[in-house]
Amino acid sequence: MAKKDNKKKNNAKNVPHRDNYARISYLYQLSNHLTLSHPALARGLARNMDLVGKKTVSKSSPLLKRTICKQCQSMLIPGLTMTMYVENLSKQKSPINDVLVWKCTCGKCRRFPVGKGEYVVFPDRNGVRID
Amino acid sequence: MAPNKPKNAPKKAPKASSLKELEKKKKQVFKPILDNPYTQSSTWPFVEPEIAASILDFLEVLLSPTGKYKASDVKVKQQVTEPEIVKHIYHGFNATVQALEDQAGINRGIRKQKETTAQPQITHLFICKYDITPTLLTSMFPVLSYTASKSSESRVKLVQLPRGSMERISKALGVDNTGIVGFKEGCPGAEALFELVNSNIKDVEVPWLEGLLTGESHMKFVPPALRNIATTAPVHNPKNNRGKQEQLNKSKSKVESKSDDV
Repeated sequence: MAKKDNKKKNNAKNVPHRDNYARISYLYQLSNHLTLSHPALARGLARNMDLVGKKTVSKSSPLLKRTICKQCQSMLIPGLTMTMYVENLSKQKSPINDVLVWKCTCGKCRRFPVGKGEYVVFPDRNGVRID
Repeated sequence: MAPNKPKNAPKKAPKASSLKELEKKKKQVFKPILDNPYTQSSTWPFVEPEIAASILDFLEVLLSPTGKYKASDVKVKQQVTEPEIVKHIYHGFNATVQALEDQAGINRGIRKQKETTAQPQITHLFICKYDITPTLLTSMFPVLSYTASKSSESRVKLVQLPRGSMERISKALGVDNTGIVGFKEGCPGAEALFELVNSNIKDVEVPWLEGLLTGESHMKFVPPALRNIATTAPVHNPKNNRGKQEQLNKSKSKVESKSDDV
C-alpha cells in the first residue's frame, strides 16, 4: 500500500496551484530565449519570474535559481553572459580552499567552495528525492 | 585544481540529533518543487569504452614529450628545445576555460578580435569527467563548448574520459591533477586523434540554445518540470488547539453575556 501511495505522489500531476509553477517555468524559458536578442527584456522577465515565485511561495530547485544572476537577473550562460574560474585566496594554497567563481558580465560573483567536496542540494539528497 | 579525494558518499537528509529535537513529532509530507525545464544530464556526448581507451593511449603518446621535458635537468633543458605541442594545447581549468570564453566571445560577435592576435581555436576538448570532483566543476562544459563553437558544422568536440584517466594524463603532461586538456586547431601530430574523435563521437547538442549556431530558432516550450520531494513537517499538538477552542468559546460567551446585560 505504502509503495503504491509513494508512486502516486511522485508523478506530481495533482500539484496544487500548478498554474503558478507553469508560469514560472514559462517565464524562465522565455527569458532564456531572449537573452541575446533582447537582453533588457530577458532580465525583466527573469525578475518577474523571481517575484512570482516569492509571492506565490512556489518552491523551485536551487539548480534552477543558480542559473540566474542575483544582481542583474540575466541568464548565466558560460561564454556569453558569464565567465568562470577557480581561485584560491588562502596563503598556503591548500586545495580545500579552492573556490569556483561564476562571474556575471555585470560584475556580480557567485562563489562555490569546490574544494570542500561534493555538495548535494537539498531536493537531490538521499531520502528526499523520490524517483 | 580539484583535489584527488575519495568520493564522498552523497549527503543524507539531516536527522534530529538532540533529545529535544527527537521529542518533536514530525510527519512526512510531499512537497512539489520546480526543476530546471532544461535537462542538464544528457548533454555529454556518449563515448564507447573501447574508443575511449584508444583515445587515452593517443593522448598519452602525444603529451608524454612535455612531461619528459619538464622532468629533465636544467642543463638538458638548455640544449633541447621545448616540445612543439606545448604551444598547441591548453591544460588545466582556468587556462582552458578562459581560452574557450575568449573564443566564444569572438565567434558570437560579443567581443571584437584583435587582428594581431588571431589565434587558432580550440577544436577538441578532453575532460576526465569522472575524476574531477565535485561535478559542479565540469557541469558547464557542454554549454561552454557549444557556445565556443565556430559554426554548426565545425563545433568544439567534447570528449569525456573514463575513470582513472586523470592520473595517466597528468603523469604524461608532468603537471599534477590535470583533468582538462584542450587542443588547438592544426595541432601537429594529432591528426589521427582528431580523425578518431570526429568519426566516432557526436557533437554536443544543447537544445535550448539551438538558434545560436544555426541562426534560426524554433522555440519549443517545455512543460514545467515538477516533481515531489519527501520532507517532514511538524505535527501540531492537538492539546493546544483544544485550549484555543476553549478560549474562543469563553470569549464568545462573555460577549453574549455582555449583550444580555445591555
